Amino acid sequence: MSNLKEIIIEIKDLRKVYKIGTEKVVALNKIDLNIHKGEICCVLGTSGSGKSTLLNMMAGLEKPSRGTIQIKGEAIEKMNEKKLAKFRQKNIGFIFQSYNLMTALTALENVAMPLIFRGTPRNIREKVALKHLEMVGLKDRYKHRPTQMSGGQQQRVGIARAFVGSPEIIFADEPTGNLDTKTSIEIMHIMWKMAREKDQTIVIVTHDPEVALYADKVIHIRDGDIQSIENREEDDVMEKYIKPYEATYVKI
Amino acid sequence: MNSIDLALMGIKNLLRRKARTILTVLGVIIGTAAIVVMVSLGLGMNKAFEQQLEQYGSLTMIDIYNYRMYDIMPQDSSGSGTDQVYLDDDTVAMIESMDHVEFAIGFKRFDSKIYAGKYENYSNVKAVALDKLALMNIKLSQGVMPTAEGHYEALFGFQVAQNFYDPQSRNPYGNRPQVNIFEDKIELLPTSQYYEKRRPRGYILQPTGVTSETDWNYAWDIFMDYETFEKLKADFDRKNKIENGSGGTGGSTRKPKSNEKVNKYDEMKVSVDHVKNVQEVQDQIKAMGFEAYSLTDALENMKKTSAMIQAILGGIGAVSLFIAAIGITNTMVMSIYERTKEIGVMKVIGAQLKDIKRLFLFEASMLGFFGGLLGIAFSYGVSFIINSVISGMSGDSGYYGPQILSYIPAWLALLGLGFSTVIGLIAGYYPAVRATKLSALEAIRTE
Ligand SMILES: Nc1ncnc2c1ncn2[C@@H]1O[C@H](COP(=O)(O)OP(=O)(O)O)[C@@H](O)[C@H]1O
Ligand SMILES: [Mg+2]
Repeated sequence: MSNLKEIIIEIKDLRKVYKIGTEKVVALNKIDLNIHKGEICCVLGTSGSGKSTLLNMMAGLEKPSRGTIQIKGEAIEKMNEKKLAKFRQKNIGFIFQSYNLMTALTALENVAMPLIFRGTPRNIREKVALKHLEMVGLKDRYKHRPTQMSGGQQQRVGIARAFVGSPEIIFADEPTGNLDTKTSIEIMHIMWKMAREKDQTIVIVTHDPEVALYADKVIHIRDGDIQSIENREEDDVMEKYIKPYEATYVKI
Repeated sequence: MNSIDLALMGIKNLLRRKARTILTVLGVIIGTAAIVVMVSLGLGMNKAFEQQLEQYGSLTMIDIYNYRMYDIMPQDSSGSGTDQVYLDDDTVAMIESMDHVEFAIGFKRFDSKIYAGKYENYSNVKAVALDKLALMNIKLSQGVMPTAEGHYEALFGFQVAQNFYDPQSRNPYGNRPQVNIFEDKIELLPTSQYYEKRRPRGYILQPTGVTSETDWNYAWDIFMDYETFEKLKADFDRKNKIENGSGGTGGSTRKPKSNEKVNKYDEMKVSVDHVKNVQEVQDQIKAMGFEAYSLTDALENMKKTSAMIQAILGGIGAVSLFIAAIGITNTMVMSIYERTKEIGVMKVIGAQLKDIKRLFLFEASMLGFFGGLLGIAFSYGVSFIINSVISGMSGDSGYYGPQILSYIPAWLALLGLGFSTVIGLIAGYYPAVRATKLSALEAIRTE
């Protein structure tokens, strides 16, 4: 079914080698991967397997040693910094493992940040930001600062911030890495729901197989190579995987 | 990112780091104040020069003399006939038709003697068109300007009124008698001749006013209506059988033949609309063949001197502002180290390179701007203190001393503010560029 949808990210023959002194570290060996529009993808692998490297190159934060990454038909490894910044502003949202909220700003101001950079007028962006805070269940906390919030709440603000500009693609690097299982479930549920509702593409990097339950496509990665790709029917994911999984935690 | 959001974000960032912001701004305050106060001292000096010159005469006045007197230089001497120039009403009209000239006024000078009872006094009578004299706005300490209608009305220079002496006294110039020119009978003889015993009958003057003590230009003169004085002089010469040309220094009172040119006046004054045009008008008058003087020559020299002193003082100030600029750069570079992560996150979530650059430039120029603003307020304070101390020192003794030493005109304040802001901008440029070059990945990488 996913094959009928257009390809939004196309990775061909991707390789990344780090040089530390005379030593070479092959972070990614040879990656070929297609991600379709509206897919919820999970890059699953152990620590050091090259997941973050892959994600960073997809976000244009790092240049590949070889190969190409096309997003919406544009080769992002060929873009300069200025063009990349424009491209990210328009198309990409980002969720971090350690939330990376501005401690001096309130939840609402943090969420509105990407819209500030887009030059959206204040009244509009506050309305949109508040709506996204509501989606993550933090509407009444809009005036709180990050230091006054729990990790889970901070990550929900981070999610609202990533979604606020309605980007087509959202990248998340270990979004539940700092959270306990119960909170991780909350977070994944919210992310899944928000992405699904607007048919947004989302790429999540994680070492946690339970996080992978939320994905339409699970990319198993090991030592810089894709081991296997697991495709699921999009309509099945909720009923077959998420519901049974969450049910085991409901009572806790 | 629009400018208002950028400004708000920048100001928030500065307020977040209060201690460092305050210390950096303090550096700029001192730098700006140093440069502004130094320049203000130079300007104060300029102003003091001008005030001093004003006591010698108005800066917009040109004095004209005609040294090529026609009775010294024969009219038909080798082709210079057309060269011959005269101070007469034609000349007045000609000068008045020049650009920037407000009016020109001619004076005829007569050495005269005045008497008040047993006291006497030598004085210059200056015969002049009184309606024009009114244009000169001569400051009076008492009374009003004379009119041509009154009977021998005259304006007295304040020194004339004070310098009567008693010729019978052993020490005639020692203690000056008090003469009240408005109440005592003042008699004028239009001659400088010395009379041993009996003197001819004079003419009773009606002094209408005395010039101000603050203006020494007219201190020694008596001003009277030209026509009135001519008649008076003619009358005196006829009664005392004085021949032509022996009356006063100014020379002849003989009636000129109808189309013969003579110097109706000994000197002229030309009022120019603005100091900056004085030199131009003066040059034109000189080109006509007259001797022309103004205080602009002296002023130019003084200004050159003070410009040099200002440059030195300003240079000292500039060094302090330069140090303040290094302070700004340092603060902004430190700020980058501190905010590396924040900048990286901003880049990842959609900040453009120019947003980051503008943010840093804005913060740096705000440090300059607020430092400049407070620095100028501080300069006014320092300037006030300097001037208070100076006027306190000169107190009642110093009439001639400069009234002010430090002078901060509005343009200097604005210039100082603009300068400190621009310095901030320049100082922030390197850190701003550096911030844009920061790798977003390094910044967001979790340890
Ligand atoms: N900047 C770097 N310099 C050198 N080696 C790096 C760098 N980034 C990652 N690596 C190496 O590349 C490999 C993959 O790293 P990473 O993509 O971060 O793994 P993961 O995110 O799956 O834990 C690791 O062996 C890591 O040590
Ligand atoms: Mg990683």
